[in-house]
Amino acid sequence: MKRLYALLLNLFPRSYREEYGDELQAVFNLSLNDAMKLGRAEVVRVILRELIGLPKAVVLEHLRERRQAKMNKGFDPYLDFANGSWKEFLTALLPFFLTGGIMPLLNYLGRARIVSGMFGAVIVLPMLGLFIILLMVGAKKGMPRWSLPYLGFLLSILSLYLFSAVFGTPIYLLFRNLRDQSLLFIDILWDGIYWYGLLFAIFLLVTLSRVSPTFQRFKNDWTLPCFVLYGAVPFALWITFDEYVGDEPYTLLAFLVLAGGAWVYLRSSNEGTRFGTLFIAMTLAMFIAAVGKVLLIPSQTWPITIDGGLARSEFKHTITMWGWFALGMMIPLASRFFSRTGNSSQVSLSEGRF
Amino acid sequence: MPIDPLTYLPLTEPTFYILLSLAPGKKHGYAILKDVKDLSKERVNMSTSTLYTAVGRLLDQNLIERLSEDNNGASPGLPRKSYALTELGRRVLEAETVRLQGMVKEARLRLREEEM
Repeated sequence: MKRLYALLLNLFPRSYREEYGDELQAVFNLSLNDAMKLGRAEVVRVILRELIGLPKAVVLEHLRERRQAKMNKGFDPYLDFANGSWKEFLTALLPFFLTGGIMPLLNYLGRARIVSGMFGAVIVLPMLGLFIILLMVGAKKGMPRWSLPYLGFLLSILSLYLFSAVFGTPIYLLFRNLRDQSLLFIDILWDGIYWYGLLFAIFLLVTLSRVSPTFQRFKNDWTLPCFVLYGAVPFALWITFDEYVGDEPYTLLAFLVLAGGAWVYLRSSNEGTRFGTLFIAMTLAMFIAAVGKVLLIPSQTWPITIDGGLARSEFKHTITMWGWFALGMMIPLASRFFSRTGNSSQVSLSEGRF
Repeated sequence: MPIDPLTYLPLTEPTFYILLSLAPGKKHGYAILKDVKDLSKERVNMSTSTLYTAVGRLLDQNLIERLSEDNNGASPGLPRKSYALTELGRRVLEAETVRLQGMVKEARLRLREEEM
């Protein structure tokens, strides 16, 4: 019977057999030995139990292996990093390093007339292509942490160009008259137009994590949607300095702060620390950008009147942008808070009634 | 990475007993099989392959971990690998126990109401 069981083990996938085959055989042998001490009826019972349980287990293990092979197909073992490792950090931070390093460099080279504007496009397009490829690799691997900033970065581009292109005109028509009255909240709503799509995507992600097992890990670690949003900050900073000359020191500093925040996030195991780090780093980076713009405005050569009003307006725009991102980070936090409140009240209610 | 144990609930009966079996300390496969049978008053009588399918899933979920025993430490005939609860597994087991307690309390209260 033990030999027959050894033969039947061949029905399991090879990798499973290599991993667990000896253990399965050893446990079966022990079960059979103990059953033999109790008599023939017990032996028959053990054998029947094994024969009934085996087909289902074989099918389940084949399905599991197929699922895993499908997820890792073509990429295994590349880009599988331990949490908090240098490799994870460097891969996750590519959007920050490339955007924060290449854009100032291209600006500088363009101003110094070392390269033409065409060269900028030649560099930027492969960079975006690389982000898309890495995002697709991440998606294939089940969106590990290093891939989340890529998702955020590309969502921010989609949000800016797609959402504002589709909804920009209706919203403009809606708020046109009100904007003329210079109402603060209308200005805030107007400034947020680029990021509505992004915030909706974060909201959708958090909602799906509550209802779909596919997005379970975003519920298990509620800071992950915040890290997605964090990946959008480089693009936000990139466009906030659009048409500014001499922004390189501020851009570099802001990106260093973002990289530092991401480093702490990936290394920390405390939810509060991770969320706090992302929030503080995002705030600091945006503040550096806001201050940088105010300091740079007097030296700009734009064909418009440059005065204190413009500096105030530019500062306000950046702070408003920060406000929208801060709101976005609050969505997973709020979801987590309400979920906890619900769970704890459920438990305490059931205990309190007794 | 802290994970909310409530997301794993409710546990199936075999899963609950496997985790419960590992609560006092590490065990090899056969010891788990026997312990689950005893703990459940023979209600959960798993085959070897069913046990290892469940064990594989619990390993994937990081609720248990697989430990290698050196050749000298393992008794002859016993599997050389043993299993232990992870910190997350322990928290999930505790959370499930609280959930079950709550259910039992509610049921008792309601049944008592019916008697009165």
